[in-house]
Amino acid sequence: MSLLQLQAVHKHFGATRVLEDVSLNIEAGERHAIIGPNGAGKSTLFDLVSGRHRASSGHIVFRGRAIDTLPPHEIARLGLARSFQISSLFPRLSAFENLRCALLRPQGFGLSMTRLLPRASRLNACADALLEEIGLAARRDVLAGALSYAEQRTLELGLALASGAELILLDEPVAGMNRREAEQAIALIRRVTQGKTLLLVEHDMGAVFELADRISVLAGGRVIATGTPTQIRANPQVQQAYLGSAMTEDTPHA
Amino acid sequence: MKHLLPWIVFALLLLMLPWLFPSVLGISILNEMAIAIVFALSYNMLLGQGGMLSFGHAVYFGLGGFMAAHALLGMELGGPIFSVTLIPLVAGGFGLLAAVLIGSFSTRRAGTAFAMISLGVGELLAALALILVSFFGGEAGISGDRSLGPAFLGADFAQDSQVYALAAVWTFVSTLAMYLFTQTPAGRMANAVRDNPERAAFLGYNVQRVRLLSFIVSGFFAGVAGGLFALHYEILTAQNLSTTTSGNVLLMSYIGGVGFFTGPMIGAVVLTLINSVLSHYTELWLLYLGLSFVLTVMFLPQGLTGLLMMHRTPWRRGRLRSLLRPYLLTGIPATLCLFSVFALLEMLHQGSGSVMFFGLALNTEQPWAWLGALLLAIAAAYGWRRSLPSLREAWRSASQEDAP
Repeated sequence: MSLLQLQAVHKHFGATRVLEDVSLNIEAGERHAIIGPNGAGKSTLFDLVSGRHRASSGHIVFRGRAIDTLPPHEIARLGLARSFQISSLFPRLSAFENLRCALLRPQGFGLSMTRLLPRASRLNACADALLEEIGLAARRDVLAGALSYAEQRTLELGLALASGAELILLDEPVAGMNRREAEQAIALIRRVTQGKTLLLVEHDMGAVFELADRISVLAGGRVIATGTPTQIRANPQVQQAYLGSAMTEDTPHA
Repeated sequence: MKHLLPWIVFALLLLMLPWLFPSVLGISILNEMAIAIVFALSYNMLLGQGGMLSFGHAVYFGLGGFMAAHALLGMELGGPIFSVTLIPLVAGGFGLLAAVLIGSFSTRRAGTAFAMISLGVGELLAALALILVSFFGGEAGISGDRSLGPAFLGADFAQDSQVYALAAVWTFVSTLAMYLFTQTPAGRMANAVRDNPERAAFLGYNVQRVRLLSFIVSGFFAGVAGGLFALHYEILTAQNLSTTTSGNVLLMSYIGGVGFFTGPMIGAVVLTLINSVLSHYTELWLLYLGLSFVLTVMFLPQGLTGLLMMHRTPWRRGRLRSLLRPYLLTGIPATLCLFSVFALLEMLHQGSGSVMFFGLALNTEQPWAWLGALLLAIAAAYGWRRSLPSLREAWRSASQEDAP
């Protein structure tokens, strides 16, 4: 059975229909990208899966369990982590503290009142290792709110990856990064999601085709195609939805 | 060893202060300070650490205090006899219980909703205090005798100085416990929820649980402070859980600096001094207190501790001395200006006759007294303003990185 299933999911905000009859299966272990023009409903889809908003109708099933009525923290505990398109950090905590907060629950610290953080050497080593891995070791003690834009994007990614969750949702992880930063981020995502399931929303077609095993195309609130990158490139409906812009510019036909 | 140093200094201060100020008034003020420190630290657990602005923190202080007063009264009336050293624990337990009940619904949201609920609960309890006479004692309050318990290490706690010893121990232990709380996962997640509750939820945390935990611990220590209050004054009235008391602890924390663990402690010491010393000299002390709060919010959003911490960089660079002259050049006219404004206020307050102001007899019927104070205020304000650019310049060069 698929790890994550969306079954006939609808979402409207008042009279505005954002998602209509979206059904998707995300298999365990795959890297699945969702692409589509602006306003196609990609971020809304993420918000429904992670529990930020509730679907107007339809079901979302994660690991065989309906999650469409659960609050975000319970969905997260089932093994789902997400990043945000606009960095959502703990601005008055240092980069190190941000990651340590993300590691607390996976490492079994929860909300303990009896364990002291300075003495949690394995936890601290993990946070430092992760900081090293995402390339922010030199900025360890800088407040997250004082980091540069690209650094905040990287830390955002780090928070999602720290959880060790089985399903990781990344909302435009390389948006606003330059080519070199994006390549580093992609390599990092590839490395850290080894053996995990990745659901990705991204505008950068280079990143999408480098990372994704399968791609779903969302346009006008509907899934118009799902398939391997090769199939998607060749799909005339997809090319029409994009009006030949991003697809033909960024990626030569195979 | 390095991180033990502040605690050794704190313990030594608690130990030595009664020798430096052995008078009855001195000991009494020290007791008030100890109570205020615990109360303000417990408040900052909400405001500074957890991002919850409470207008009703006196509820837990007051309820703890009333419980302590009842325990003392109980000993008098043939109830269980136990050592008064444990009174703060009884009070803390009751504060904790109240925090569990009230926090279970008030911590659902932070921000305005939390602030409004805290205000409502505070008003509600203050009103109840006058209605439920059996527990709160109505207008007269509840009083007890702290010297009826069994003696502890030869102390029967009849003397204020013995109460100080007890309060000092409780203050040290409470401060240490509240500091250690900030170093636990629960304390750190309170910071995270303060900064970004949504993100904390997506990390798998129930943000209400995180807030509630801080709220309960804070309620406990507010209760402990209330228990120490009951021991010191031996009487609790409705005033002690009113919004005035809640407002006072907010002022202490804010003037001291909510962004630092030590901020509320400094605020507690300074405000206790203002409350008890200034109120001896002038009836206008509440006005001055209000003014200092407004000035802090406007010019020192990080509080007094923030002001001290600003000087770390110049200090490390050895440039502190270069600030002395500009500080004097600004400080003297600023002080003169404030003093002449205060003189005017005191004369206004007096209305007729003469006012003693720092040994100066100001006759309000004489126009020259008014004119002199007014002219001095204007001249000093002018000098103050003129000195500011050079102060700014000196500050910039003292805190800047050395040019390569």
